[in-house]
Amino acid sequence: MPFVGAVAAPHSHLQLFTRPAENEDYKVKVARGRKALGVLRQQVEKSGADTMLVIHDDHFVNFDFRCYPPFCLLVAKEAKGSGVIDPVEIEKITGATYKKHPSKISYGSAPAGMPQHVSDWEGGDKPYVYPVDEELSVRMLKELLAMGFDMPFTTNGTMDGELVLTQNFLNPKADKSIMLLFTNGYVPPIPHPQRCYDLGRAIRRIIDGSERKVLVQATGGMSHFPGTPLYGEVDEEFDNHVLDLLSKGEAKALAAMSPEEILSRGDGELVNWIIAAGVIGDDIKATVVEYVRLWHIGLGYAYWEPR
Amino acid sequence: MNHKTQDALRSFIIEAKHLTTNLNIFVSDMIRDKDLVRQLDDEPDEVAAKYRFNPEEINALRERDMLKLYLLGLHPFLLVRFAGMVGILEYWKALGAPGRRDGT
Repeated sequence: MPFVGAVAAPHSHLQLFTRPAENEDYKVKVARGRKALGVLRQQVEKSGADTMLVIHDDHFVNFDFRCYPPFCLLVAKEAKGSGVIDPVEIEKITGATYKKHPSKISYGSAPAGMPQHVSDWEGGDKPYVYPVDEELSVRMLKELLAMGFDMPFTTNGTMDGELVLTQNFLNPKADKSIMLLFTNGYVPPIPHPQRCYDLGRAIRRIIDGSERKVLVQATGGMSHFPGTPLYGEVDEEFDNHVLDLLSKGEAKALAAMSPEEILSRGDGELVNWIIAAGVIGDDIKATVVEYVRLWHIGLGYAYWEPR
Repeated sequence: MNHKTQDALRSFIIEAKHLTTNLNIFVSDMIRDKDLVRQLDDEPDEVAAKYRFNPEEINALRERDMLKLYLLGLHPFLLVRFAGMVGILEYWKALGAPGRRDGT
């Protein structure tokens, strides 16, 4: 049984960084989200996974408008990135240990006022380093191509801060190898949900043919409209509809949605969850751990156990 | 999609204006080269020529006109980064977004 389960959780950096203007209610909700991530971490541990296949939409770190693929698989020996706040603070909150570079004095600032996690400005001196399941990554790439999925690949394992954040909580000691499947969740036109679901089904066949115990992790969501005139709107009705479908084992219904629909609901990143749903398969009910609505985003947390 | 959402997201989701403007190449480069902020203000003609900006685009960049940039196709994620790099911390106010509902 190489597929050992799945988890889905937001990657919002505001789970670790709270703006000074936020009120007590906001902080309580963030704490609920962190508690939910603790539940998901227990699921990861309970699964006995060797490898986590992380499905995440890149935030203009590995790709930009010169090339933005719908999907892209990392093939490398390791992946690395910076946290969204200072590693000392992250360790206090999540227990995530980090690599201390002798030549590096501070992790807390970046050029031009950029948040440290946004660009690849540090080069190699990144505090969070994860081993990549290279053998299974290569195998997955080859087999997806053979199955008719023209999967691009990258050998650059740079992780944006949001991706690192999820691993801070779910793989804090970096003792599980990872695989990275990057997606396009926010640069229209995004991949069609049906294609995402079918990709997930294909990935499952590859995982089932492997000796490795693989847990799937989908990041992102739920409804939010960053950088648009709708920032501050959250489509809670849509978020709850998605979670309801997942809890009933009806994830396939997500595949019938159009790319424009999920984007207009503020949840283009649902493509990550839909790929995961394809891996999990039909009729497997999710356990929804938590849903909180902050003023600018809906945060959903769920897990699946294999049948 | 209701009418309000449709209108606010039309240029982004339906028209996909970001696919046909060099604003996004420029801001992607800004993330990696902080000197481009200075060049934008001190050498706008050179920047406009290099990135083939039309007058509307270079003026919107120079004036930090967030709503105009959004409508011209600056991708929302890069708009947030651009705002940060030019010192606009609560960019959503400039977009007329609802924000926290209490005016902040």
